[in-house]
Amino acid sequence: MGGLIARARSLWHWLRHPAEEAADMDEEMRFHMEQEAERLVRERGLDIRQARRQARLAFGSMDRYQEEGRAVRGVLRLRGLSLDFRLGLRMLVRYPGLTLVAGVAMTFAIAIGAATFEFLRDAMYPVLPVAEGERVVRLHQVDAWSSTPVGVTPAELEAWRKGVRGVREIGGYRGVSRVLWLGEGSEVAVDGLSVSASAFTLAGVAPLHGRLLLDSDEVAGAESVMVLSHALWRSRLAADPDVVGRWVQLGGTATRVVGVLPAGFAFPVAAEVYVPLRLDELGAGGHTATIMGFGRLADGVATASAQAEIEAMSASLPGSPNMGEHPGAVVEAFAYPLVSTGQLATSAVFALLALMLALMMVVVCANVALLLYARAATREAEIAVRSALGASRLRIVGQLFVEALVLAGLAVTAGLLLASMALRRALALVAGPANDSLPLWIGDTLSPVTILWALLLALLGAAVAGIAPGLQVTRRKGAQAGLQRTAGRGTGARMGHLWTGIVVGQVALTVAFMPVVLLTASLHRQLQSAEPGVAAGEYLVAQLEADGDPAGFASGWHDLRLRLAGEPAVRGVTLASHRWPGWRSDALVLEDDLAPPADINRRRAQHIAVDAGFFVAMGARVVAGRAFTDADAGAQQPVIIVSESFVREVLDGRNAIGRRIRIDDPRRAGGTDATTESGRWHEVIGVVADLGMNPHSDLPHAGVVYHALTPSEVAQATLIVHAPGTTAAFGGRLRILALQSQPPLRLTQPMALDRLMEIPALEMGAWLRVVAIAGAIALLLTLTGIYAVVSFTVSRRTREIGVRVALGADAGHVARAILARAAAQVGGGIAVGGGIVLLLAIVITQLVEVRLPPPHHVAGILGLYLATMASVCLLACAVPLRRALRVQPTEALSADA
Amino acid sequence: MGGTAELLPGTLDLLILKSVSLGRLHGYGVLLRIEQITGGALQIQQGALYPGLYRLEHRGLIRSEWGTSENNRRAKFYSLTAAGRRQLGAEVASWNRLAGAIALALHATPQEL
Repeated sequence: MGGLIARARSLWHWLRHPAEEAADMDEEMRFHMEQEAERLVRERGLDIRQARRQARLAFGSMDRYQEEGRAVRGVLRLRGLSLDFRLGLRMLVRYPGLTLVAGVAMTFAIAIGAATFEFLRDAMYPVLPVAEGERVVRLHQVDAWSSTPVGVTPAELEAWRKGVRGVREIGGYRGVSRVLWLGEGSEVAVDGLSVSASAFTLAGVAPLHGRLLLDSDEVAGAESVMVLSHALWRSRLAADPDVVGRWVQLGGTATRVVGVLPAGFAFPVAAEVYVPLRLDELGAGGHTATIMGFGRLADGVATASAQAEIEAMSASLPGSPNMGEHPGAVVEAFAYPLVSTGQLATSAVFALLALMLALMMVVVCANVALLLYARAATREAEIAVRSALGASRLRIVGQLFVEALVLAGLAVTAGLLLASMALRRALALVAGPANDSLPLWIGDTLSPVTILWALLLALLGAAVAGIAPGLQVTRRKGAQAGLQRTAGRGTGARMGHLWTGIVVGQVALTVAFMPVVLLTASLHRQLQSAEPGVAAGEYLVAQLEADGDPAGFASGWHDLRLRLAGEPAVRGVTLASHRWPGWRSDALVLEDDLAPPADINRRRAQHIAVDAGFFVAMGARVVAGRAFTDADAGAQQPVIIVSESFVREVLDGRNAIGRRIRIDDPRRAGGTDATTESGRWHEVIGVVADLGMNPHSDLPHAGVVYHALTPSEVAQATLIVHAPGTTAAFGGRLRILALQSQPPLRLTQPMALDRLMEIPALEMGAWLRVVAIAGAIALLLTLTGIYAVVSFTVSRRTREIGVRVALGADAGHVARAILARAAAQVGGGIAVGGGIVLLLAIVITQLVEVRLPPPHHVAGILGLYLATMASVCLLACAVPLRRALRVQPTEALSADA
Repeated sequence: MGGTAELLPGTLDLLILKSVSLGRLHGYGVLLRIEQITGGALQIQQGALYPGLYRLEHRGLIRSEWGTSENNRRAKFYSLTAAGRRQLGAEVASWNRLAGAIALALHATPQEL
């Protein structure tokens, strides 16, 4: 190790002061010769000129020893490397087409590799982005039956804060939405967080202005205070630094602004305002609202022992009414993995995924290698001369590797920029406009580990793209053989089996990939043209939930409905269980048709629960029977309404009214349970026109079953408001009205229905872009690969072509001779790719119900597609073929090999 | 050439280390010291000494600094580093083992077989 440091230091010194070091060597050697000359004068009595001449002779060549001095310090090797880099750059400029194609392909592979790696790391090895984030834990209770987190009661949190030693800085939080009144005509509904002061110390955050929340703020009866998020401070308070100390109305209470948080703060979750969590008040008011807890593991304490301590403490406390019959305390890392690997070890799955990304890089770079090989083969003469002058095989392969490395270096720079941009856009799309549906440890910036990974990918790419062609082009070749070829007597390098395999493989891959692109494009078009069946721009959709006690939802909804009725802009208002009808895995059983059809898919439908006003609000015409009434909710005999397409698809057009239908759950063995919804008979009371408002469904006209929604049985639902002529700003008004209801309701993610329906199309559009770019690059690589093969053949056989032309061979004959090889490779690739497409089509039709045209149509479409691909591939041969046919015999005779 | 012998490959570095171990020397001084301690029995191309010196310096076995020579001229002086001292010890031991073995082999007589 010490020797290595000394070597590095010595080389570094040389590189920093090359002129000074050269002068030193020169002076040192001259001193030597002067000393020797003086000795000769002194001891042998020579005159000084003669002595100097003899001293020079005895010393030998100063230049040679100085060069050796540089060599031992590695300076020469470094100079060679720098020369290789310069040559690599020159090659990029000299072959712009190749640089563009290979560079774009490598950039894309690195961008995909880096962005996926970054997301997988965040999703599989999540770490909270705060100091010692891996020691920050969540504390809550779960219902042991359903594994649902149910939070903790104020009393429990208080007990844990006082008694637990294994977890420090214990705190809690719960979401609270309030109306913030900033002055006359300026009120806004804000998403707030009632949170313990320890959240701020745990996150290690400093206020931008004023102060943060303190423990003293949590004492019952203390002054009402709040801290503003950076985003709210900027958007609503014009980033006024004097806001600290100002009194505002928050939820009807005079509250003092004590501080402003820095941008990006979002612990434990993102909120617009942060108010103190007052456990005394929550507990005293008889609230059943639960709180989520957090804390930091004490030094040297493992999660398991902290869990045991909290469990022991919880056992001695009275249970929460929310916790079900089997509560269990849980201590777990605050940041949880988004991707579950089930029984498999996370590291194994992660390694496998990383390997797949690396494999993608290898596949892309194998194609780049083909192009570089074709280029290297045209530089055979240069390589042969270098060999003859003493360059080793390692040296020449190294040079080609460095050339590929220069290309990979540019690709990794562009790839990382692209990955960063793509990741940001993809996450913004997933997170939605509110930007709150992603946990805070899913970041959109590339971590140093990911950058290192991208560099490794680039190195791997350069190794594949540079070393393989280097080894091939220097194979079987002594300097003599190379020189012979240079002199035009040999047969030159050939496209061996490896390269044939690569061309066939890439044609097959492109042929098999294009249907994926076309399928995605067709799905995208389908989503874009999805008809909601209603004037979507006139509807506003939002999530509605109880702000405090979940049992208060029904009363809150009743109040909100009355308030909305008083709004002049509102024409209708309704509730649904979800935004869209959703598929259930259960099949349907018809009472009078107990023998189910062979195709179980014919008995599936989408389900949604809606309130009595749904069909009126949505303007859906009742075709037969009647719509729901308030009495249908929670009725003894459950009733359903079905869509017209349900009648067509499931009932084959038979009368639906009065028919009894049961939802059969195939997961339940031994028949159905009469007491659960799955086993109960539902009577069809009406048929409505298709709304078609499910852009997620792959079968847009699949039947829909509407159930009656019972507000008293839910704690949250989707609110749909028909308010023509209003803008998105009306969402803010709705939030305020919801918060003013008694008891208050929280309204989140308000969005116009037409905007909401665009989201699946936007997501599919983003995916289509990725797939289309990948397809275009695959096609580009294939075409340039074939072009390279034919160009290579032409350059190798220039002499032969010339002779044939001179002997009177016709153009067709010459063209056939040249194209034979490329045609065989394209044919092989098309056959393999066609086989894969056919196989995939068969597998897909087995798995999913797809209505295919008759077999001879399918064969015709496939044949046409393959013929088109073959023609496109063979078009790539046109330019080099034209060049070949223009070869003059005189040119051919003077050409190399 | 009389009593001089060709230098065995790899032995120049050992001789330089040994010379420098006896005291701080400039390049020409190293040459004189080798001649002195070998009784002038070894023939060294004078310039070949310098790549050897640079190699040892590069490996961190000797260090150099500019100073003033005995006749008051600027000269570069070499001295042994701790790593060089360890290396010299190891190489001397190795050389002695080799020389002993060769000497034994060369003095073997038919009676000893």
